[in-house]
Amino acid sequence: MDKLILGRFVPGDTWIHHMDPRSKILISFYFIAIIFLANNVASYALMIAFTLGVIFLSGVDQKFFFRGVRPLFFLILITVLFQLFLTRGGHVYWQFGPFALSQYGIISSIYVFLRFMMIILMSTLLTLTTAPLMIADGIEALLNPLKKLHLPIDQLALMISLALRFVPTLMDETMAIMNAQRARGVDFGDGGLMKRVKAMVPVLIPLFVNTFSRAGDLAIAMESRGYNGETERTRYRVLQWHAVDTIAIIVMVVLTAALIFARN
Amino acid sequence: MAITFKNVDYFYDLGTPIATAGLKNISLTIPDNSYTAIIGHTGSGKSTLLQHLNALLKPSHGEVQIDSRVITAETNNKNLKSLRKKVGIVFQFAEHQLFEETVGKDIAFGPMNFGATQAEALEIAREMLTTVGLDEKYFDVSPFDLSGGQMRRVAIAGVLALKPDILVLDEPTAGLDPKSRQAMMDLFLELHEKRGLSIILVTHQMDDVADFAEHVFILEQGQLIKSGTPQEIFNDYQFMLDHGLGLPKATQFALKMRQQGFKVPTLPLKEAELVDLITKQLTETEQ
Ligand SMILES: Nc1ncnc2c1ncn2[C@@H]1O[C@H](COP(=O)(O)OP(=O)(O)OP(=O)(O)O)[C@@H](O)[C@H]1O
Ligand SMILES: [Mg+2]
Repeated sequence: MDKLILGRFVPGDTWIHHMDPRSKILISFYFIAIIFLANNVASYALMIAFTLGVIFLSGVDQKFFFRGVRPLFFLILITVLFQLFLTRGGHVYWQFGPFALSQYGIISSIYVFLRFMMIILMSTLLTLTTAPLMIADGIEALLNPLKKLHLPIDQLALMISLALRFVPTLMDETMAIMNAQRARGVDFGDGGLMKRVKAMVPVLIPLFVNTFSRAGDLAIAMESRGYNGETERTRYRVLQWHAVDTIAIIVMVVLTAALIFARN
Repeated sequence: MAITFKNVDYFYDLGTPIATAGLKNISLTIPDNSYTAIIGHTGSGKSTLLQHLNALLKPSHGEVQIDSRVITAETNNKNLKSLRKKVGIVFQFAEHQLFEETVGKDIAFGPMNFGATQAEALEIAREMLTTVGLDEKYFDVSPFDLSGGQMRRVAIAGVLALKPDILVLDEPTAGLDPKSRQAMMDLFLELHEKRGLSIILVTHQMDDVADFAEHVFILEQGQLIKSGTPQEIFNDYQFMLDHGLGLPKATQFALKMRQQGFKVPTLPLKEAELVDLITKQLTETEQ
């Protein structure tokens, strides 16, 4: 758990860090969408080059970054193995019952693998370079048009920012409770699956109890400071569109054009 | 069981851009059968140090020796259980670790993890409940129906139930009312004096340091900046004030007396010593 970095934020001072969260979120989703347009070596190479280029631009420590996505890497590998052995077509190299190793299977599993990897790298990069509250603000701003349909966007945004805000707190608290139970003789990495699941009970119960009581305290604290979900709120941080954001959008347009050119 | 730190560094998130030093080059010895206080500002590394005492954290560099076990960065996470039975840690906000249906079962949780039968464990639990000054009637109550202070006592009982040789306490009395505070501190002293437990206490209360500790370690930003007996530490009161650490009430009072021109040959730390000092002054002025 302490090794996975998806969802973590590391402050920095690069172009990527200074981008508006709205454009960052939009571009990330857009990129994930156009990954599915890639369908040959050239187009995949283009997308990979772009991904690596952005990671490089963000200035995050590369060893840290790639080590942090490694747990997910193995997860994807398992998914891809199904693709590999269950897809038929082209030359068949090996066969056993329903399983076969075929030319198409190999190619499509490599593509699926690359697609997943790029999606994960990009999402990790988004959270790694954007403060959680900025992500929440960005989501809120992007969803704002839906208010016309009378959807409770303000409340939704508040829920998202509270959730994001408490992720690190919950992580710390989980560690603290685990340590307290370790000190009372619990061995978390020990025994079979059932034993391990049972070992989590003394962690999960206090975690839930503390979380509920904290949620109650938080609600009281917010109300006593005049929070009211009904009224329009003014904001302390105002999102600002910069030149980098416009440039980033242009880069995406160029990337799309190049991608359409490269695919067949 | 003595505990020795040799050039211990500890970094949180080692190997990442957000690595932060928790401890820097700590060397110290906590002798067998001692009552030790660890003091320092918030964030000075006290809790980090405590977690090294039963290998919940392992030093990034250097080594920690507990009894005959040497813990280094390479030490395997297996086979630490025997160590954890000997060194019982009551964490900061220990009341947040309770989880069982009843107080009794929660206290019995530790002993059962270390191999006691349910009957034995509940027996110990009943004993510990009264030891920490809670009425027997709470035995079958849900821990979540207790007050914060009562929950704290249950948590302390849960660690005492392990029958450790060393009892480590991270701000055990923070947030308790004065009477419970006194009762808890008396309990720890009794465990130390009558049952021979080593006590390691993290506290912000200089009066507790003066009243109970035999030895004091002061941490600042992960470094050990001073150590000695309470008398040695508080004699250097200028150092304590410069580092924003405060003094026992008796010592503060005696310093004010000195400012007013009274003779204060040795600084009193405890109330009783201050009373002695004042009585002496009064009898001298009467003569
Ligand atoms: N889980 C963690 N991850 C990263 N850094 C941490 C973690 N726990 C503590 N630190 C950092 O290590 C340093 C020492 O923290 P520690 O908890 O040991 O302080 P403390 O002396 O116990 O403070 P307090 O009196 O508030 O309990 C602090 O700078 C803190 O920010
Ligand atoms: Mg602490």
